[in-house]
Amino acid sequence: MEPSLAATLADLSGSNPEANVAAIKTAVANYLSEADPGSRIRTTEYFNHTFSPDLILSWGDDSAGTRRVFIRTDARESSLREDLDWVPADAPLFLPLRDVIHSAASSSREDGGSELATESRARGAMIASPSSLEELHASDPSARVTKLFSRAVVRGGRGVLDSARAREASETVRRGYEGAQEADASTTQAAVESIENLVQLTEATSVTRFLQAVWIGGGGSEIDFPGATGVFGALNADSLQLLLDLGDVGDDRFWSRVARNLTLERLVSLTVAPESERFQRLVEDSLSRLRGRAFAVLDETNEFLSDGEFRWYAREGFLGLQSRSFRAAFTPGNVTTLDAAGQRRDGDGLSVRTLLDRLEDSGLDFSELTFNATTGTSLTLQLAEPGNAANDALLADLTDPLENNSNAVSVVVSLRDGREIMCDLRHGRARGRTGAKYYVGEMLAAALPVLQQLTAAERETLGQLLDDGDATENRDENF
Amino acid sequence: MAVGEDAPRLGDRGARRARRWLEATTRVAQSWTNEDVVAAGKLTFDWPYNSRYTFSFDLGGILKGDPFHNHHFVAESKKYASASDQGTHYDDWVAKCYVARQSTPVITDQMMWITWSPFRMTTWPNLLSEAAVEQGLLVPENCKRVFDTDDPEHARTLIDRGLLKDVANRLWMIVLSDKQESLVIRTEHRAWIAEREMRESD
Repeated sequence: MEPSLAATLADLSGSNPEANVAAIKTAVANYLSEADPGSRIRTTEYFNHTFSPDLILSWGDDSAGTRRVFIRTDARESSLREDLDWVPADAPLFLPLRDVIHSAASSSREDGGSELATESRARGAMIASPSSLEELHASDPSARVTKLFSRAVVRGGRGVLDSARAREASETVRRGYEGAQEADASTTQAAVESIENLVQLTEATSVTRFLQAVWIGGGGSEIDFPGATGVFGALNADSLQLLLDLGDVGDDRFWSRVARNLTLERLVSLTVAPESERFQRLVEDSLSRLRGRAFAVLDETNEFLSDGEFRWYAREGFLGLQSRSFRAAFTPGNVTTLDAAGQRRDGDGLSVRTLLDRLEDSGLDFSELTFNATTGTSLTLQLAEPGNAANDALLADLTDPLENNSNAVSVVVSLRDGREIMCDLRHGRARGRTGAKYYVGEMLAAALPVLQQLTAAERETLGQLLDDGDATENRDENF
Repeated sequence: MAVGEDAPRLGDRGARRARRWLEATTRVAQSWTNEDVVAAGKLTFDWPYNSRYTFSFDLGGILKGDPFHNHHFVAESKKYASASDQGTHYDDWVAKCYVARQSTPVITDQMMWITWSPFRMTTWPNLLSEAAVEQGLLVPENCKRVFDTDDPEHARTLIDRGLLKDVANRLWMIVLSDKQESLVIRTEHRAWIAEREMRESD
């Protein structure tokens, strides 16, 4: 284990400044890394320099955010106040190596504040005393909200932060997180105020949005979430992503409430790996609510999955479903957006018998079949009333002669309420007949068994999914 | 949190200003002052023959860029409005440079006197000479604490001539003025340099 900052400062060499500087910078980097494990830390050649930072923090991709960190060996209030004027960086983070030594003038101010506090806050700069950042995550280092808050302070904290202020703020936020889970307004409000007071808005929102998500999951209404700036309305993608990234939040009831607020548009803007168990449950709970326009079945296998195992994931604008033998991608956009989902199928369609068997096995009604003959002729068969393929002698008589010289290239499956889903058998795609939106569950039920030869195990899993999610029942009242 | 200890003295502000000017040259990578609460670099030394007293330089640090790359420096800053008693202080300072160079050569590659007011105008051209260092060493008080003698002639025989020459070669005289402090590279250009350096070090 690396020595702490305090231990390093207590063990400085008398005559080797280079070793001292290296040890201090390493200890400070570790100290920052503990408070914000997700950021990258670059060390510069400078130390205690008026103009050039000791360290540069960055996070996300390169454009997401950076913060310059200035170590200060001089902790006097007047010196730090001067530094504020000289440092060229935006919203710098000053780390004096001892608690700030206040001037007599500021300690006698009636409001108890100081010019240093006012000015640093106004400039988005933070002056954090050595143990303050530890206090942010000391009380409950494993708690997700604590980590989020600590990260937000490192990246966007402002004003003078000493240990007492850090401890108090951290405790307020922790209480607010517990309160939000029960939709308790006063503790949640106190937490939001504490966060917004200490952290610039750009970074504060990451924590307040998380609290809002917890609040909604806790049964609170979206409208009543206590006044965080810029955080209102339904759960947005950022909040959802946070909830999923911090997967151990909440219980099943919590997640059912989150599911009630989901849309496919929000879901597809997330990046969630198929390994997320929480995401499996969330999607399964939402199949009867998520509405999309189209989906594609792709010939992408995954041998690590067992037969009949389905895994949901989200990536690059699609909700994905991976099985051992295929992959499906759902889009809230129109069918052409599926071009970006992966290698499109490009076959000749299905033999007539295969198609009719699939329709019959799944008990699906259809209203229209289109065949392409080897001669190039295209033939469309429209049923006067939607029907199924079972025991229909006329259908058999009509289609038997086509068996050897043509392929079925599309079929229109009829839902019980009369709406229709078109399956493009050559390209493995399904969409509404009219461009309307369909529930993901009903699209799955109506088109997946037509587009893909499912194994018995896959058929069973699909059946369970649709039963559990009550997937084909309309829930228009939610929209 | 400590309260009421932040009472800057004029000389101390001079040290901070001298340090800032040095940094503005873009040729200082790391520095520290004698007023820091954490001493990253050594600035305090013992007199060889008066262990009850120590002496300090106002600031120190490490230079960057040839011909001084990675050279350690110590500096004395005199934020004076006139020559005042700088000559007396200068005699002591060169003696301190001699002692520090002798005891801790690693951190005394360059030794700078930074003043806002010239002094000893008649001997100004010779202030960085071996003779000037020798003169400082032979001040009675310095004879005592550097060589443990009250006799300047005896002290003269104890001077390490090689060291004397070495020290003289490492002395700098920098004269600043208030306006000159602001005639340095602009903040935005300094930021460009810093960004470029960061990119190249990636």
